[in-house]
Amino acid sequence: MTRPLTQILDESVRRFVPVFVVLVLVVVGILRMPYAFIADITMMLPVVVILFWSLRQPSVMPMVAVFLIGLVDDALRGNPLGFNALLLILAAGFVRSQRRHLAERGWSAQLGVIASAAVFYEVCRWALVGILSTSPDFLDAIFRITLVVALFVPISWLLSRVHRGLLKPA
Amino acid sequence: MRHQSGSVSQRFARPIKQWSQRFAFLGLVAIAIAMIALSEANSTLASRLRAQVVDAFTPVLGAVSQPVETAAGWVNAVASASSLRDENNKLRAEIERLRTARIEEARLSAENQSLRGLLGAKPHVKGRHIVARVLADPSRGFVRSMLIDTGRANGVRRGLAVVNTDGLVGRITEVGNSAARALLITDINSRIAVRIERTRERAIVAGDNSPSPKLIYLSNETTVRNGDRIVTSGHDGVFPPGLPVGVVIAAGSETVRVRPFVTWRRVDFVRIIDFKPTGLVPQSAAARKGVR
Repeated sequence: MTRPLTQILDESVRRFVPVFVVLVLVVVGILRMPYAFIADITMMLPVVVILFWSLRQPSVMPMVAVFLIGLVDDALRGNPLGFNALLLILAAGFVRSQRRHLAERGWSAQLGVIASAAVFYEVCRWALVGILSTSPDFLDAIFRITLVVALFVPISWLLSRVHRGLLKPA
Repeated sequence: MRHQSGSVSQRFARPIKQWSQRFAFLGLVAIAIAMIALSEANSTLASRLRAQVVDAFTPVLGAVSQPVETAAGWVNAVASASSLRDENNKLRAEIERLRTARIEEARLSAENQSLRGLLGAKPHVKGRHIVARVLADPSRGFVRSMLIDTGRANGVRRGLAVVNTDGLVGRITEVGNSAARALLITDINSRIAVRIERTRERAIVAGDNSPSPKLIYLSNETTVRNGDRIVTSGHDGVFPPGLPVGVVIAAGSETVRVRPFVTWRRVDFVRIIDFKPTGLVPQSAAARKGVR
């Protein structure tokens, strides 16, 4: 039985919402904020949201989309092209690889995976910055890891509602 | 026939799909690494690609940045409400100081013009100024830069100096049609020829992604001290001479550092200077001397 065109379009648009949300967050992440801590938070939001969808429903955050989002972020920030794209696909790949271990586990296990992914992201970032320049900042890395874990709690609560309301489970 | 062609396409499509799913991750990692290497090897191509993406997002950035700046203004207004009286007193004192300074400045300017007239010296700073608004400030990341809403269409070119009322902000490194990127003086790739205003000693301000760039290539007999003003020397041909850069801090330590005059959070508008140095001898006269 063929589905009506409107239903197909509706499903396609809904499935594109997470990618669109991350793109919006990438743009917001480079805007000038009144305080430095707000700029730090907005900079890490795309990472948190990508990790969330990679954990909950990878089909709405395909690797190609993650790669392209990373490229857009690199272009807007002036990074070497591929810099953040590489970090994001490594972190998203890490989270996806842990999904099968989370089948029977609770929310704390998910948070543990996200924290590990944040550490993995920062270690890779640190290595890449060290190769491309000479000044990776250890304290900055620790701060960003803490920020990702802290942001995951409210973001996952918010996006869980989006997940239920907008997207059908895979 | 249709059934056969359907099954033939399925025979090819399914393995390709399985193969692509299995190797998508590795393929994307390889592509990303290749792109990083290409960006480092051919920065011109990478700059052009980045400029095109920035051009595409400029309308969105312009539209979204306005309400964010308005909201930031409200936040600052609320936050500063409690200190209005103190700020008022400080501003009154500053106005008095500036009134006195303006009288002295007018006297010095008149004296300067008179002396230049006597010497027949040409003004050595000539150029066009382009005012631009700061669209975005992605300086929390790897590269210290800011995006401005003016590009090639308004005559912006790579290498032009970017200043604001406080001092030197940076220089243009990427230009799109409607937007451009300014590399800040704090970026690790930034090098500026400067001199210490008090001693006229030449040096280089080198960014290292920290808030206070280093002052390097000082002579062994340097007498630099904390509080010395650093201005551009103009010897690099990029920045006009005399632009305020910052003030020396940590002069006695192993690495002398400069605190920029610019307050990065408050850079809303900048001026791009299309600097055309005239020199003491016109180009045609120099060429004639060379031919003889």
